[in-house]
Amino acid sequence: MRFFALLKKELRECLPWMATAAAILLLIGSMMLWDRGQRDIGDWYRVFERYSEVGGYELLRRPISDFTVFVFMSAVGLGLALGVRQFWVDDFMGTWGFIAHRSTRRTTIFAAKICAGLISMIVGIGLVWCYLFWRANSSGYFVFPLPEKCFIVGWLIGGMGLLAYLGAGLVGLSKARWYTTKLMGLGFALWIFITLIQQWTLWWGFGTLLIGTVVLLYLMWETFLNREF
Amino acid sequence: MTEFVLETQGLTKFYGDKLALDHIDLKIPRGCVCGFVGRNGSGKTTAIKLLLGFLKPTAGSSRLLGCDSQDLTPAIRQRIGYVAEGHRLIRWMTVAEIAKFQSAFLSQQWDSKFFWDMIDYFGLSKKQKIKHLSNGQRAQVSLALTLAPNPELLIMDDPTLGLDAAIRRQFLEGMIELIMRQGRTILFSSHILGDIERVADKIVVIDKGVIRADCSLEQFRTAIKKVKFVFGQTLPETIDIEGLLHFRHSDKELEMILVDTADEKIAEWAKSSGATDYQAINMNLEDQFIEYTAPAGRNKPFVWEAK
Amino acid sequence: MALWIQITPGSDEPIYLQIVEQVGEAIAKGQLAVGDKLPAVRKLASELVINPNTVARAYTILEQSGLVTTKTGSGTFVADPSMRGKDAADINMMADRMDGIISRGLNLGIESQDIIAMFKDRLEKFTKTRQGGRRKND
Repeated sequence: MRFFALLKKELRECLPWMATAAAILLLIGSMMLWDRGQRDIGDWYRVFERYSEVGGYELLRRPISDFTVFVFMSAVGLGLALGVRQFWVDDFMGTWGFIAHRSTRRTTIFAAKICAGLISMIVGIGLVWCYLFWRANSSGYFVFPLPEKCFIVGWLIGGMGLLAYLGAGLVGLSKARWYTTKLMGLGFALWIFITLIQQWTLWWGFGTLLIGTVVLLYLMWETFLNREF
Repeated sequence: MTEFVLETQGLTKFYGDKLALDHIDLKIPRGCVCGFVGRNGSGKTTAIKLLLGFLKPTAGSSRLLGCDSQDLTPAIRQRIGYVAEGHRLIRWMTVAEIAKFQSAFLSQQWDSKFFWDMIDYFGLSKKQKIKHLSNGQRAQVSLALTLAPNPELLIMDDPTLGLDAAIRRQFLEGMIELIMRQGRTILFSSHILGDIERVADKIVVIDKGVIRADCSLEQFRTAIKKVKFVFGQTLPETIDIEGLLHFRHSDKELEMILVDTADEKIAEWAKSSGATDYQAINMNLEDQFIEYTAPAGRNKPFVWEAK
Repeated sequence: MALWIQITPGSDEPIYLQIVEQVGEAIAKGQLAVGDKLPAVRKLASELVINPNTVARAYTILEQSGLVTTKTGSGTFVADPSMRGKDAADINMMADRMDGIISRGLNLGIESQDIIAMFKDRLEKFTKTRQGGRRKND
């Protein structure tokens, strides 16, 4: 009952950001699809194939028009926005007093925020990605269908947005006095990210993402439980 | 039922190397209305935040309704109403939405009729968004949200700061209404001593992190006296009367602020120091508070010499 | 009934004393007759927006000076004047009050006989109201 009341509130607060990110991704994604569809599929396929050969580092050296980079930027953008909205705004608005006095455990409050954040990312980036991929494969844009691996890599790249979300959240929750220590959260997320893109196979990529997420979540939870307002 | 709904033992808080609260010992019994007063920055908000578990003490402990402040269970929090300074609520919600949100946490206690009657009384509507309300209106919603669950213990941090007289009065009425129900206790901090005088039975004065007074309002009122002594010739060299807080003097007159000095001792000193006359001057609560918390050694009022 | 009690917080005089004085004055003027019921503690506290303990304290003081009696369960009533005691402290306090008024009058430049005349005049008004009040209640 209380968890759902909190979840509803958090979702409502994430909604504008999620909707914006989804809209941008959908719009630009569709445009790119249409644009790509006029040319050879080769580029797209090559990019995804590359991932399993030389590691994702290559990805970020592509020009900005490359689609995966765009998914990446949208995911990170949404992640940062959500992290700030959920974990920084209450400090500025002075509303932690109201929230922290809720008659529920702090863990419940934390869980509601994280669930809302995850749902927003999955719907805002993940679902749109599913749609775009399906669109790409179905409407005769490409000569031959995109491989499944493309689809999975898209999720992995979206998953990097998760790191941005958790990193930003950790920074917001941290009450460290010096800005260098405060930004360690983001730095840590960045480190996980760099590790991730150095992985050579998808399994290792997802593995790093999972471990990174769990560690960041734990740090956030611990910080929140002990936080002073 | 625990005897004291609120108690602290040696509660201390350092912010870095700045001492905000210094070994506070407080005990507030059930049914009491306790006015918490102090100059700006004296540590009132810090104390309240520590009580509610929003801050961790550097030393000492505190308990609300018998439960340690750092481990307040949801069941205990339900029985405690809290109004934070500034009445910050969730801005994007409407009055109806925030009522729903609040009641989700307090389902058994929530008195919906009481809440909406209050909102009606204040002339607010359920569809108004919190961010479009004025400070006063937001305070009114905050009051309704806090009183509707019928809290056993109400803690308010400067609830009437910056509010107009009419809304201040509504807060006081709400507090009186609450205190008349069985077994309710209120702790509130305020700068408006007229309000304290109206509703408090107990007064706690905090100054630079230290509790300087903790007694019934009546005791406070009778203990702090201003006495003026008139002298024929020069003033005495030393002033050694029990309970002297400060003094001010002019050529032939000496004005003393005394704390808890018996009338006989005053008469005695007047005689032994050679005063020709003396008189106790009535002070109101605000004057008493100002004198009591003025910095030590202040023996001249600030006088601006116009050129 | 409670309409004529007015308190001023922030004055030199504590609130409970203000209530004691006003009730006392009403009794003296006859606005409250013997047997009249004082407003209930909670009701008066609600109307004046003050702590009910303050009202209770005032009523206790009035009872101690014999002006009112409390019957548990029924309320507080104006007492029979024959029950009122006058002790030295009460009379001293009255004398002190008179000193205050006299000094103020003299400082304003009012002559002694005029001060006496003023006292007489106001005393008459009290007794007139009292008699008038009594007649109303018969």
